[in-house]
Amino acid sequence: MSEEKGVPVKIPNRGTPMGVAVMGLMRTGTTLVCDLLTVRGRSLVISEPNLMGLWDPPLQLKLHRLYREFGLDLPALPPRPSEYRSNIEYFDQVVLPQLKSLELWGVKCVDLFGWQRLLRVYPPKRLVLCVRDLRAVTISALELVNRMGLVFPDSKRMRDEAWVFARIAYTVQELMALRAVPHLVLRYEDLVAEPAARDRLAAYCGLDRLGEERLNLTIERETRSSWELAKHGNEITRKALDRYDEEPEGPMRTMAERIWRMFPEYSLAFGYDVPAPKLRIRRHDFCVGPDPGINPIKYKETDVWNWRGPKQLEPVFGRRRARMIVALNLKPGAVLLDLGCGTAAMRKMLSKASSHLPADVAARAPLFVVSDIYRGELPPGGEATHVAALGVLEYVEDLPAFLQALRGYNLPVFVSYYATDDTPDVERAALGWKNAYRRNELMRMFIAAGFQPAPKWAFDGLQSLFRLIPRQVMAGKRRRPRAKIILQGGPRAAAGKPAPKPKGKSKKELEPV
Amino acid sequence: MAEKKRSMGVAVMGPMRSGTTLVADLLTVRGRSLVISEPNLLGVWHPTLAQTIHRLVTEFGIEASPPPTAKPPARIFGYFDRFILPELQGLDFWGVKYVDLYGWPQLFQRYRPRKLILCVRDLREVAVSAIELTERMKLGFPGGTHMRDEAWVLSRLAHSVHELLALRRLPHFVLRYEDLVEDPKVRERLADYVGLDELGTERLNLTIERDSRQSWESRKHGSGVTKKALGRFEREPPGPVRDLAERVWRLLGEYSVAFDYEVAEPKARIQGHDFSAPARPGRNPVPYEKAEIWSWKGPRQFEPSFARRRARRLASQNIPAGAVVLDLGGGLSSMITELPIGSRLIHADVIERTPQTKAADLLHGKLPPKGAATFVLALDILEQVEQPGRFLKALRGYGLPVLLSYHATDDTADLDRKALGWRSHLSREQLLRGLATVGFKVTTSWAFDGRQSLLKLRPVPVPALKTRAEAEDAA
Repeated sequence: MSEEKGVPVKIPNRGTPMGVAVMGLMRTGTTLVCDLLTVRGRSLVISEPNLMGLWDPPLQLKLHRLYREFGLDLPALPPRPSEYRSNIEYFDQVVLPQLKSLELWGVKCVDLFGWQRLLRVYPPKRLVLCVRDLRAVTISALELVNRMGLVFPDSKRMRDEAWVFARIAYTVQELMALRAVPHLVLRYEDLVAEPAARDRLAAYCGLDRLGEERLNLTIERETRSSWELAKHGNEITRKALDRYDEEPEGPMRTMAERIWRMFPEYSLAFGYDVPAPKLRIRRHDFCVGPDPGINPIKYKETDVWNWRGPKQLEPVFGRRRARMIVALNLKPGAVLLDLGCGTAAMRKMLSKASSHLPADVAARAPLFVVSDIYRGELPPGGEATHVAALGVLEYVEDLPAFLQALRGYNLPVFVSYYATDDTPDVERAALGWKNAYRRNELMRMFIAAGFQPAPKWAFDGLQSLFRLIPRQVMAGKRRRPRAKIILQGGPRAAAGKPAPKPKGKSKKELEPV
Repeated sequence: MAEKKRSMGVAVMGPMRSGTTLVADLLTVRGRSLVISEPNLLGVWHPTLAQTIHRLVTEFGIEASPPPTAKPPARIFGYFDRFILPELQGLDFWGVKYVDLYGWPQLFQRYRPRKLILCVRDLREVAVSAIELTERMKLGFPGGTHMRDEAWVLSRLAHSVHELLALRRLPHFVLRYEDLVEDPKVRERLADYVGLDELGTERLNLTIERDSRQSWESRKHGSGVTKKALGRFEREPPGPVRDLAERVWRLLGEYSVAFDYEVAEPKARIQGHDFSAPARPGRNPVPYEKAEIWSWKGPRQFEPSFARRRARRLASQNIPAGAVVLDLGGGLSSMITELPIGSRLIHADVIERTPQTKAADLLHGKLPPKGAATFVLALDILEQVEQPGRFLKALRGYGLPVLLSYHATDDTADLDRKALGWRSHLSREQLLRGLATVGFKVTTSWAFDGRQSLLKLRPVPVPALKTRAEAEDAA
């Protein structure tokens, strides 16, 4: 439903009723529900048809496969791109007439932008709201992003933790508004654990039995369908429960917890644990307001790869900003070992000649190297030419030991940190941060670990970025760090002219964004 | 009068027992500001209320004409706008405080508040405190024929909670009672919010209350702000009032989330209830006007407080005239207005809620002495007793006729008894056997409201053969 990029699709208000609409957060079992409600010859629930969007050839190719697999009488070849202007045009003219003969048809959406319009055009007789504990949703969403290599629509940059955060927050708000429509709540935890919950679903939709095929999953990209099928097979399993419990300590677990703490209204509404009053996050741009119909988050902004996010400090948005600067400071051909990256978003920020080695505390995709990073157990450097640890240091208990381990790579390292000097009002423990250092303490630690640090203090107002160059062990007297010189940088380029060569020996300044 | 002139400086809104009267007094500073407690400005003319407003204004130091006795206006604002409001215009600000939140949109339309304070408190504490207030003031339903009961407390709190959730959509300042009495900084923030350099120190609004309220509250807190009313729920022993308080809290989790209080565990939350919060605030699911009727049947779902109301009604028709009734039900003494002419009520509870209450450990079968009682009522209490045998034996010990209500397991298969806080789970047969064993002859009215039974018990001599222990076991 989200593909409305300023060019509204003209839709007459037809009011064609659909049997069921399945709406929910990503990773709440909506595709599974789709397939359960799809029974050959009787009912079809279409996953993410984006009916309100402009003509989308790859999507139509996928849907065409679903329709044919299901048994609709459609031509063997999908429609040509020039034939239709919008998805709904094709759907109404070709697909809908065939669906009308079924007992039930419907759609499922996890992208809830503009659901009001969709439900106006196709008023659903039934509405199923799919939900799941927000902490599990977050961890699972990170895995989805990594495995599928999801990208932002406006650029080919990969979606990141900040996007996961913003999208979940946006969807929670919409779900809270959707509760005003008569509905059935389907908790993922119940769906996979209790046959009675599935019976209730069937009864609600007027089916005497549920579907057993995974038609909607099969038409998904291989990166998703093969992974999910390998995990669950054709069965409904409990393997995806306890995602949060299994997630090791670190920024991603903290992020999951943070989302959960931000939306107690969701947890209350759908019967999940509600955080204790002291843990709840209040007065935040993303919080649910007193009127759930008004979403404080602008959908289009969440879909911009470099959106700055809420006014409040959100570590995942800080991490996004740090990545942007580091990417600018890496030359083509660099091989970056990205420590503690929740997503491999950096991969799509680097030049094509560069490589990215993602490493984290959990295997979020096949390429991830796993190690206990926050306890100083770093993965082997392999072919890496650079190392990054962005949004990581705050979560390390023994920072000197961690820096020593970093020094072991003997490679240039980029690290970010929120020094206490720059964040006096930030409640660090509430962010899950394990340490609190001032600027000068940090510099001393970097030097003690054997680095020559080049800082970019509070580059986004709060967060500092450091390029750490491994210092050669010298027998003579120790030189003072040349941080200040590097920080000041060389002369800037005049408008339309190349930058003059900086004077001095080392001018490896971090590029401004 | 021009709308601008009618705008008020501050409106203080909250559920009863959330410190609204205290806030009204804190915001009342002689010569500078006056916040009037419960003026019911849009209500129909009520001479006593108009007199109260006049008394407050006079006490405050404003000379205003007294309410007219001849040809009074149709509504209170007819008097207020003409005689009081012009005098208030000279102050820094004036305002009102309401715990009866019915019709606030109309009130705000007429007197637009520049500032809005929402007073809140943990719902469990509010419920326990509301029971005490109702009991001490012997609050009556409109008309004054019937005393308010636990079902009204539940309905009123639920109604107020929904209105508060709707009020949150306006710009406001949240004032938690717990913070107000504990944290001087919160009081400073309150003063800043309304633009006062210091808060009031007199209890003008409390003084104009009925003596049954103000003397009790003044004795408790003096003229200061104290923490004595904190921990009300913690101190409340197990029993019907504690169960009611917990039930209100479990039912209205949205309030606890919105105002940063603890929320019940998922399994303990009450969902899909007629009184539950709707997905979007604004449409109150609790019908205010029906809730003001003493015999309203309440929500479709089973509610112990409404079952108690039904039991009281039926019991009232079975009490002999002139009886001295010992009521072992605890909670409110609402039976007082339901007794036949010439009867008298002795009220027992698990805690001495008022000086007149006979406190006893009812749930453990330790019943109070019968005194002058000639008749005993045990409504909605046996369910909460862990050892019903002991309770029935003690009941028999009075040697008086008894009216007993009970929800037998045969009639409540659809209820989660433990979730209701019930501790005894007897079938009809078990109950009858127990009653016979301790020496009662029973006349039954099984499931008179669909679930609840009322039993008339007449003491008869106990069969001699059974020992005490056997009798208890059998029961």
